[in-house]
Amino acid sequence: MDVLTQQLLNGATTGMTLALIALGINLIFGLFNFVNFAHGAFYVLGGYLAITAMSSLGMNYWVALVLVAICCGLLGMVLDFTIFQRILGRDPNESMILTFGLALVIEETIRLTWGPTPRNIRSPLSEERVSFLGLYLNAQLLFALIGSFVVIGLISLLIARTTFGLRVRAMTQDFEMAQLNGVRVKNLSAGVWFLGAATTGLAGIMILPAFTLETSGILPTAVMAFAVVIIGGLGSMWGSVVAGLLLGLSTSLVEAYLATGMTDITAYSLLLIALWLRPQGLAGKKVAA
Amino acid sequence: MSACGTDSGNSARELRIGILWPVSGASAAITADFVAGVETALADYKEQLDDRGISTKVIIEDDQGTPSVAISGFQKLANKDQVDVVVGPLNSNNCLAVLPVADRAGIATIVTGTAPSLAEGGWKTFVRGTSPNRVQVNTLVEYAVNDGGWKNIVVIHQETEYGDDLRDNTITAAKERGAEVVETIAYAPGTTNFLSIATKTKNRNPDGVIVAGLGGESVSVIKQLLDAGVASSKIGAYGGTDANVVEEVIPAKDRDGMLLISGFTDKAAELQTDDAKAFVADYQARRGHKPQLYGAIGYVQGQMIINAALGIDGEIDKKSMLDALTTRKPFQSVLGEVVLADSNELLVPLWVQKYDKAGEASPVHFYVDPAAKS
Repeated sequence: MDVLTQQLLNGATTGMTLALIALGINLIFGLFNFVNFAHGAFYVLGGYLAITAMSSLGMNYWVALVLVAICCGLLGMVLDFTIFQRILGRDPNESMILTFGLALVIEETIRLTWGPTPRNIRSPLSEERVSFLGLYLNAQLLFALIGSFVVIGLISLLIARTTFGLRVRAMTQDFEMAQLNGVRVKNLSAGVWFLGAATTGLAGIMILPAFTLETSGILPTAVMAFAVVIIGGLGSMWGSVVAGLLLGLSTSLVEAYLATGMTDITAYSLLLIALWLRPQGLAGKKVAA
Repeated sequence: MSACGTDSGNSARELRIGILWPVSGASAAITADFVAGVETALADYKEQLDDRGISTKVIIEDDQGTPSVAISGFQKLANKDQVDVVVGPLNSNNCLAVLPVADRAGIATIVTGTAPSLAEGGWKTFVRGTSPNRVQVNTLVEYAVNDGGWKNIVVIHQETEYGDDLRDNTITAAKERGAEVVETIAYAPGTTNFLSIATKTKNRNPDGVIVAGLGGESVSVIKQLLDAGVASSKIGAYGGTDANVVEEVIPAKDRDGMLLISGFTDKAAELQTDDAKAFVADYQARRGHKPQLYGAIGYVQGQMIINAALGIDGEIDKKSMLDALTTRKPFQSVLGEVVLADSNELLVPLWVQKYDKAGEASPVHFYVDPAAKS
């Protein structure tokens, strides 16, 4: 198989994993207009919690996968109760500064807890390689690619078909009107934070076994995921999938055929173009002035 | 940031050592190894220091890998802590930022940055506590070309002064030995996803791939090269790729034939001295794993400082330390005999380590820079 096909597969894998990380941001940002730079912490923490669950507590990878997602979800709820609800509705700059600081605190806490040495999560798939039609892919990444589709699909169904989802959609469309109609913000907020943090923690334990786990990935992960959400359109999960794929494929092709070391330039140029041509995002609806 | 030592006073015979390395961020792991090396040296030589009435104090400042932070960290060490010598920074960019400040303060600064521009700047307080890049490049390329038969080489390098200089040296070293660097691929610091780079490299079908990066980042490159189908026996990495991290991340079965550069290996007969054995035991007790390049470099830089201090009869201060440190007297270290060249660069002999089928690394090639021999 030719290089182009391999690069397209690399790009699709990168894009889908980005879409999965962006899922949590989409839920939270879409609902509360809350910029959370600490969101990447759930992704990195998912990886480190998996190491503890597997090597210290002796769990197998699949049990750890579920447990880590739940732990990250609970942590999201705790942060919501203790910190985020206190600044809800205030100047967005406050949330940006606060969560930026929080990201640094979490990063250093992780470093002090697990040590500075880069770590490896050994899953049953991470050391296996899949080779088909001349294409190569780490089996863990193939799992992450398929898993991302499944998780995003399930969360979309949850939002589209359940009462919880109906309330989330109502609040996303008109926060105050939904409140007046009896939607309890605190309960819903806890649920959304649980879901957002759990899916991001899940992304960490699904994706990171294919890479190397380091503490320094929190802010870059959050910023890249924000780019995906903005390009895709706030509140649209499938918009994030398209945006993630667009970003993954573009960076992969630029690195393959133009110049390497261009990931950030490509991604943020796409963001600028998207904001210029379609500020509401690919799947977002234009709001009348 | 933190301090430890044998005495808290600032007496005339107190040696104050400032360490300015990236304690947080991506290079934190190698910093921990390096600091453990310095502390092991101070512990091993405590008796000699006590005999000469010298107490020591180590103050560690985090430069965060950022030039502006490195400058303020240096100023704090110089003005508030009044150190007699500074060890660091690690990154060449930070060294370039700090050296003019060091010259103004008159404090000897033992950098680990390997960029050639550091030695060319004419700074009177500059001491390089490790070999310049050409030494590790020639060590690996000599073995890879002569013994590994690598004729077409791809270099994957970090887009920094460190990585760019390794790339340029590799092109020259390969050419001198009748081989060719057929492609150089740069990546930005902080990159985690190397899938495209790995595919591009695999498609080039080279005899060998040399990774010129630092810490976990370069191990990520290696992991993704293996996932892309590049054989482990075609992969080599310079000293910024720590063997401890390689062994943490790459499974034993996937390391067969891989080449790494190291300043220290306890398997080399030449390094089986009593001092080296004691170093390995002490370091392992302190750090929980065997010393590799950065642990050994930390120890050697500790030895440099201790040797200098032991040679001072009067007051230990920044001036006497600068004079003593720049005395070109070869000394026996855990890395073998090391020499301070005229350019104030330490010339450290280096090893190529090769992994076998069981995933164990053994030294296969030893290289001494011609300048050190002369």
